Amino acid sequence: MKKLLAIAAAAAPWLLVSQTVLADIEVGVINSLSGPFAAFGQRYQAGMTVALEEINNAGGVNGERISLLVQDDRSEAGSALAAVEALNRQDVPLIMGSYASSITGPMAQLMTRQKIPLIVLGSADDSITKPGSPWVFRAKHNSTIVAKTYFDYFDYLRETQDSSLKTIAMLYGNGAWPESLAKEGARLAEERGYEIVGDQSYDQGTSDFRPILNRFRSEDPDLLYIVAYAADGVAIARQLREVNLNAKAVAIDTGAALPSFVDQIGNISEYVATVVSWSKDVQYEGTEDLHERLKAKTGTEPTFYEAEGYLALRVAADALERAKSMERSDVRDALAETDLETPVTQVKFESFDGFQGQNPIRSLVLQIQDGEHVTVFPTDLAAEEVRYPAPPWDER
Amino acid sequence: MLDYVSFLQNLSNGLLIGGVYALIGVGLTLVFGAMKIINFAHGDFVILGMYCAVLLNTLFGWDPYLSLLVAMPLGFLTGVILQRVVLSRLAEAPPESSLLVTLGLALVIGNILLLTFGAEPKSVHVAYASSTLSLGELSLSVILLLAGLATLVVIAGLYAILNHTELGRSMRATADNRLGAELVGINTRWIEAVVFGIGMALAVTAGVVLIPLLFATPTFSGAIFTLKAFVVTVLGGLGNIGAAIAGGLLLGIVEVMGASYLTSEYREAYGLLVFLLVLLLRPEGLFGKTVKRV
Repeated sequence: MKKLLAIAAAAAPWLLVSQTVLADIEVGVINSLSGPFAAFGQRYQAGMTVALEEINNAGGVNGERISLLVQDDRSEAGSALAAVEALNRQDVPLIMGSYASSITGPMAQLMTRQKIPLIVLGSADDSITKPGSPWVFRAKHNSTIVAKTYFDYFDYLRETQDSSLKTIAMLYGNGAWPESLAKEGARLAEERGYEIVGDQSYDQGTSDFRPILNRFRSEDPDLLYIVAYAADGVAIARQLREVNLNAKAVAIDTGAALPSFVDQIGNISEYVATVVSWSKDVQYEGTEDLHERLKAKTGTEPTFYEAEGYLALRVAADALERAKSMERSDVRDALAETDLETPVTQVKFESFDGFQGQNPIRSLVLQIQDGEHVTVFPTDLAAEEVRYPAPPWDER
Repeated sequence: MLDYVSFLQNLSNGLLIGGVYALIGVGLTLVFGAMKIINFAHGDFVILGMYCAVLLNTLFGWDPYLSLLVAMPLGFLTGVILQRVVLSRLAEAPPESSLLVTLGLALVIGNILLLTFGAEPKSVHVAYASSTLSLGELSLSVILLLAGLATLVVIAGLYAILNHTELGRSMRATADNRLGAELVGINTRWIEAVVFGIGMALAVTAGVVLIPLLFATPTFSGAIFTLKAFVVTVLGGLGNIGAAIAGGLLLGIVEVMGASYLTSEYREAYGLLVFLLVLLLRPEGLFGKTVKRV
């Protein structure tokens, strides 16, 4: 026993020394790498990796390399909270995460209590930054911005293509994001004179939408406003055709922005519109180069999900560079003063309309034309004309 | 104004999906009838069938109906082995043991699938995934029609076996009166293995037939299917195959109609609500023999 104590006493100073050896600055990441949101989580991961390479190749943050300490939340809020605790113990200066609003919401609350800065990776639910907290920062859009973009698009169709557009049916999952977008959508529909003839939510995990779609069919809506993730988005689109539900314009949020949406259902995806925060043809400096690098990293056509991943890490690195120290409160202060131009968008964290730490970003509407996602709205950023109306299924 | 086209589409979808539920329920009720074991792993057998179809599709590009040729015999054999190796040892044990063992089996299967295939939901994409058959104004999904057809064929086959073969007679005899069956020389231990094998084969078939419609997740959906199988068998009356079929169809219709004409969020709840009502008011099942109530 005494011998053991002696050895330990001799070794102790060496242990202290080994800890101050040059280490990377480790940024915490909580992402959905498995489970139903994995399709999106992988894309965010790819975007972050591209940003990581860019930052480290340019010399890192104040001369030091950064690295990502990634935890998989398995598409569940519970695992994400456990991951926050794990990363907290590893003393990361900030954490980026996660994809789904139902996961990031609880994370934001926990991290506010623990005073760890959170850079929201992929969640757009209003409630994360409204009221938000001084510790939560989001560079991407929120539900208010997205819903407004959809309804500005519908108004645009009503003004320029078909003034008889009136009835709208809404279908959405019961997760935090779809519900938030639907609620905001319902409010805007009333405000702008649309008649809601269908309003149904479904359990996330459902794959048979025929009963709901059959019911919508009997109401014959002009517009469809659908909020679904990857698997349900594909199932809904297929079943729209199956039950022969013909609407003049269809908007499917989230799932329809993925290339796999077009791959899996082929030309059923034509005419579907979706809101994104970035597209490969948007007019910001460096967009084309970023598009090439993201494409090389993923091996397929990148989407705004990879771009948002890239954006989050760029914001983090920029703040870490300006921060007075790696103390979380100093990192937080640096984040609050962000004024950054990136090929994805400009970033400034502002408080407005009850929001806190939110970047007032401008969103775009993409429409699937000939198997490609094309920017059609707002018209000053559009690459092509919108195609309207969507022809009935038996004429396609 | 009721739109009759949508209503008929709903009704036909309910019947077709109900047919598949019936297939799942018949497997469970068969096993219970012959062995008095409630198989908590039944839903996970369905999931096994789904993953079998996914695997064969990923490796060889097989259509799910082609993989049935492999999945059914494989399911049968696995069921026989499971019964001989695991369940037969519980013959003398109290009934709770079989409950726990099948529950354990469910966990083992679920987690093996999780380790092998990962947590991401998987499906099989077939070329005819969105094809429809038009009957006048009605649009019926080809996949659902094929599922209903497969169910019909399999149940007809089962009926033929049960009523027109010696094996079937032995199975019915064992279910009716095990001791009596043994006394007339039926090898009941072998029959039990066969019954469990058939039950598993039915579940696996249902899984293969469902995979173009649904996404398979390894640990979560097994319990849901087991629950649906319970609802079906209780609705009809445990041990009664014809009634299980009726129960399945009823569940399918209740779910689809409820989801369409009431709030769709509670789709799963409608079937369970009917389940609860039947348990409270008529616990022997809608078609079970009436027991004297005090």
